[in-house]
Amino acid sequence: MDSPPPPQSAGQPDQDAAAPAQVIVFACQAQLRRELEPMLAVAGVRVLDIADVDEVIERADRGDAGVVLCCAEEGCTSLRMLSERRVHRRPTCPWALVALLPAGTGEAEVAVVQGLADDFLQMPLSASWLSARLGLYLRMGAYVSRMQAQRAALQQYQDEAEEEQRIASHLISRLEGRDPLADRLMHAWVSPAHQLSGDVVAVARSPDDRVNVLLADGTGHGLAAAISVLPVSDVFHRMTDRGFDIASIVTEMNRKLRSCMPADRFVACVAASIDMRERMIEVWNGGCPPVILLGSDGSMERFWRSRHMALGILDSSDFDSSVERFAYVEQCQLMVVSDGLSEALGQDGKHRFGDRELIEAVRGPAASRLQRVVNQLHDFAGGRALEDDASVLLVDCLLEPHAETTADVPALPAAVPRSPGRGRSTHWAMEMRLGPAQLRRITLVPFVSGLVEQLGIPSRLRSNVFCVLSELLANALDYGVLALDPALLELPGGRERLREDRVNRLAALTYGSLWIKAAVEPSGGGEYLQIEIEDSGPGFDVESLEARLAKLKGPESVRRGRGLELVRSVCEELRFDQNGRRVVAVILLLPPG
Amino acid sequence: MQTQISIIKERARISLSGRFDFNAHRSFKAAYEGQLRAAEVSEIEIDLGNVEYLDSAALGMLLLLRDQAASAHKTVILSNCRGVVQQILDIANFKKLFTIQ
Repeated sequence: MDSPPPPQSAGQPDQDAAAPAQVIVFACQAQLRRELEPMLAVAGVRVLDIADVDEVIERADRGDAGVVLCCAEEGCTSLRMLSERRVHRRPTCPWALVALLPAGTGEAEVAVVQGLADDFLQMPLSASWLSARLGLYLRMGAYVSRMQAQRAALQQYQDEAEEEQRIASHLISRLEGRDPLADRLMHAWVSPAHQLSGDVVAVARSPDDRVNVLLADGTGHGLAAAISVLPVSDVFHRMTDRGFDIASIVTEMNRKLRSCMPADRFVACVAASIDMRERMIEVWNGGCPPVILLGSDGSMERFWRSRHMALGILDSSDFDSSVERFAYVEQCQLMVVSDGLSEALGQDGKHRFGDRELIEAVRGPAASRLQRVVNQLHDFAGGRALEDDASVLLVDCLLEPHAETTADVPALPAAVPRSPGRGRSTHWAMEMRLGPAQLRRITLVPFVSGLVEQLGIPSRLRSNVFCVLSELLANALDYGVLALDPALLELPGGRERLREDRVNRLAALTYGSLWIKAAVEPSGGGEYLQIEIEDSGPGFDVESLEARLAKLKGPESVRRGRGLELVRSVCEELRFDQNGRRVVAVILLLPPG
Repeated sequence: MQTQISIIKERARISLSGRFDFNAHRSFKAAYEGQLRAAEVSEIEIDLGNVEYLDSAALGMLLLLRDQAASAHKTVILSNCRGVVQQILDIANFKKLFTIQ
């Protein structure tokens, strides 16, 4: 039977005044119980008198009592039962099992009791001593209880964080497009300071075979940094797929970050483009350590310092998307690193991994260069963990696009094999006229890439159609509408001059147009795509242009001469008329039969 | 990181020392918030002379201060930048956003 609530006392345990602490008294003889009751009353605790061992365990586990006083009679049967039954339980609230030992208990019995109970009290007891001990047990119980609650909260926090990181990792890996061919050019090492990296490295090919390179480093590290770089990675892949240039890509990255990130979050970024036909590198560096172009022996050919603010800081109106260009002549390697590498602390905790260490590591053959940089960093750090995400990205700059990147243009079957029962419902035609305003505005590669995608051309033929459309449109615009002088190509520095003329004339264009017609028609049992392009220019001598291009040496011959050669190789028919102002190209989509 | 505030005429100088990184978030914010509210202060100078290192989170804090100072019609000046601190500010091109003395 429960005793009435005791009066408050100095020895009352640290409990809510509205709910006095409770103690279970178990297996005590009547005499002992009579001795205990007044002392427990002085201690300010309510006594729960329970005779059944299972109920004792149940109620103590539930938190009804913080202390169970159990008489350790000869043989300790009751104490042993309590001890055994609670051993595998996980109580909601911790409680103390305290043995009451008769006066004169020997050392051997004490040793037994110590193995069964949390503590023991030897009779006779004074009221003040019992009150103090009970207060201690209850305070310790409350402390353990708080610790358990905190531990549970921490565990829950950790579980949730791990789950969020797992989902974020999955999401990030899905958003990072993989291009096996581009991957072959890339040698990368990314070392996250936490489970998730705030550094992202990527290489992707555009439809016109440029290789775009990205290293993005979000503020801080971990999930917050990884989230910051997600939009950057997404824009990079999406716009590279469509053929946008680096300036357009970084502009969109900045706009997106600026619109969605807090003011103190930004992304340091290097975006670069390697045009292996033109042997031209474009670099935009905003807030990253210098980008370095390495010769085959690791010598430094060129470097690009950070000339811009990181992404996400400036409004679009203040943002500078200008890139720096460099024409390379020998096979080389572009190296981009994040500040986690250049600022890594050495084992002395003072010096940082600087230019000297990096230059030393990259010297020598390209094949093992990445490993040498990583080894050098580890030696320098001497086992010290990196404080920030660190990345190294090396990209091979070849003298021609990778063999397979060009092979897939002319060498693929010119048409998709006919499959049984394939319908003939794909006939269509479209035409458009682009005036000066559109020509000034449109970036040719993404325009053509979008057109090819939207026209529903079978995927295996898209690169062929892209090649034809982009080459013929470029010729019509450059030598037709803009009337650029192809003779410049043969002069030293002529390419740059031609590029400048193109930019200037396009910006000033107020008159002129391009007319484009594309139609899929059946003929002789097959299906053909006919592309017609007509420009408003004065016309140009196509044979002379082709002959001039054929005579070119170096990168320009690869780019332009090869371009027309490729067009001829994938077309059933290629015909220029009206003094070069009009061109008709016919591509086989579906063979007869 | 330690912060020390001194006010000379209309300029509040917040001198930082130690490592300026994410862990300094509270102390840095506490140091500048009062200066943003102070009507007599028109310039907030962040003295980085005794800062050993600053990371990208610290750059973010400076950007946030700049935004808030602009809203309060105050300017932010970075001073005594040297060594690795100067290098980091150079790479970040903060000279385009802040007056650096």
